[in-house]
Amino acid sequence: MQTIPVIEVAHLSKAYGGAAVLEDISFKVWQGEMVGLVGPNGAGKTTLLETIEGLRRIQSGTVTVLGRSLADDPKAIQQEIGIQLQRTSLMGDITLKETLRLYKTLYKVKTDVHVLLDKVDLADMSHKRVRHLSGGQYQRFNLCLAILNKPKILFLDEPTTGLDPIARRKLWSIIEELKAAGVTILITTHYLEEAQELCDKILILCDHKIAAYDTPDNLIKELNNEKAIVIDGLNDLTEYELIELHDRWKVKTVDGQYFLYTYELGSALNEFFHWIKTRGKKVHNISVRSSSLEDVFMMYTSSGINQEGGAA
Amino acid sequence: MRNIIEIARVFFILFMRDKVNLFFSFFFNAFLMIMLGLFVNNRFDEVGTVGIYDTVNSDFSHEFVDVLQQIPNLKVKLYNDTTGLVEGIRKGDLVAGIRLNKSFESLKDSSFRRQPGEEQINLYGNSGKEFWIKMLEPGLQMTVLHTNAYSSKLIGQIRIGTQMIQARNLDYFKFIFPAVLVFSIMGLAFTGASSLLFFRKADVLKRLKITPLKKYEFLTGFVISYLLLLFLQVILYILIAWLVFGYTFTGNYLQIAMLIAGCSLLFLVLGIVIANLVPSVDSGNNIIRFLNFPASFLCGIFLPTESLPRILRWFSVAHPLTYFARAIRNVVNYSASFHENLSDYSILAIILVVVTVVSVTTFKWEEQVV
Repeated sequence: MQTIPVIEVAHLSKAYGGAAVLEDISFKVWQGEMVGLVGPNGAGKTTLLETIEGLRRIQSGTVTVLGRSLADDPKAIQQEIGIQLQRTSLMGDITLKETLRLYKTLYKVKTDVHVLLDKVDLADMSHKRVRHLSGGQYQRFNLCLAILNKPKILFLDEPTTGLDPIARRKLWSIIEELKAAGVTILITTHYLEEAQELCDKILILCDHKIAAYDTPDNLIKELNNEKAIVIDGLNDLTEYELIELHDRWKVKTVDGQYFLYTYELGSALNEFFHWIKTRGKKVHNISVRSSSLEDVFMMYTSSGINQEGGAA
Repeated sequence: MRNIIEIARVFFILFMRDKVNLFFSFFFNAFLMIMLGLFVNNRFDEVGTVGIYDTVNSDFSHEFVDVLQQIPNLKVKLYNDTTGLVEGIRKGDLVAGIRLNKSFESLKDSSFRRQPGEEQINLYGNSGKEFWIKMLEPGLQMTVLHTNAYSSKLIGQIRIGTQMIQARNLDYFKFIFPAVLVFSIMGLAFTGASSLLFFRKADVLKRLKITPLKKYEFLTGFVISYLLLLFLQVILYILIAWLVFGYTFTGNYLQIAMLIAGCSLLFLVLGIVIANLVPSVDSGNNIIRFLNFPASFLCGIFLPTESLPRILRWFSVAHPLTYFARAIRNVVNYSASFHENLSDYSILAIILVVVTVVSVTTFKWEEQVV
């Protein structure tokens, strides 16, 4: 059993111009874990990640990485971690090989350039200039730079955002290999289904605080095996009908879609159909699915009315 | 040390691969230098074409025209009428027009006394080249006398010895070359500042920040790369000056090398300061333009600072380029000693120390440090 976490954040708070961006954040990450950092836009995910990486100043609280305080010697810690930033640029007019050579020089631990490029499927592009890479190739190359020093901890900030599904799958398979090799990974992502599948733990940030931090299974269990009835096209509700809907069932609304949560699917469906029929309402589509991380995410972060009980 | 060398190598490669930057940084100033050196070298070398309409058509008038044609700065073109002559001036083909009237023939008599009536010579001036009229008016008087003397075979009886004196006045190329050298150094150094601004804006430096690379390693490597580029630029310009104009240095080579190195370092570091302190790429480039462009006129590069109106001299006093231009000109053209340039060196040394400290303390990897 591990006794010393590789990342320990204690009471970390940060504010920009008087506005809080992180409030009393505390959590630990253990060796070999892959932790997914999720939350709505503006929740503070990137700020949290960049603070742990040493890019941002610590205003209050402590951050310890690999047993060393970040405030003492961030450069020494950076020797042992790998970072892929959300937004960054590389020098466009040097080749992949030259870029790797530059970054390799900066670290004590080295990996063979060809092996690295091969790992990210860019071996045949070593002599191409960075600016000639496509979006997916660029992200893979960024990942390549992040792992060239054989890091003990890897920080990935939305590595697959903006990529097509095939490119995303490719990148995720590389990340899975790294995880299998025992690298501790802290990753931010908007793709909850992948986070649920690949991450050992999920940290949900909401309103600059930690809303939840647990394994995906445990988080979903919090929903007590509720089923989610997904309703599309339920329009033109009056204010009274809206209140009534939320009174009767546990409902979340996201982008015009209604999510109705229930333990007893059959009776809930019957009641709902009766309700819309008596009010002359129509829906385009209804589907049913088991609760997922997305539902957990919405439970913690959605602005919809969150009420217990009703005809479950 | 390896980090420093690697950073220097990368920035050197980046610069050399930017062909547009390479052209404007290396060759533009060289082009300017050659053009100015060739075409503005000495205004008194300018040759003017003068039109002549000889209404007399006598031996004396022909001898007069022959004498005129022997003047080195003049080309003579003959016309058959006044209209053509005036038209030639109007079109800009002629700097002036001369009409020899019928009464011109009376001048061949050396005892001639002026009589009222028609002028012997009409001189038509090009209003855009008044200088030639001022030269021709007395010149024509002398030419008549010369023609008389020529006719009476006095020419050749008088011997004139000519001797060239090395004076404080320089020919134009010798005046501008040393200053163009330091001006180009400043330009290239500020190009480095612009690239730093761009890389910071594009978050390229942010990516380097999250590596073990230290600030001083990055700055040292960056400065070394541009020092190497500046060294190449200086060699190129010296070669061009030597090949095209036969220019050679006369001063102390160690002092010259020290000046060039000091100039390179100061402007590189000043460029880093600008890049550190400005809020955006655009404002940085505007400040660089403000320091660069007026300097060519106000820092003694192409014109002496003594010729500036007093109100503009504040710029030259405040700009380090003025001191470099003056010092290097004193050394390469007049072999000035270290002691003679001590006041300029002292000012520059203070500026260098101050900007170096500021450049290191204000350096940031990102536009906003949070």
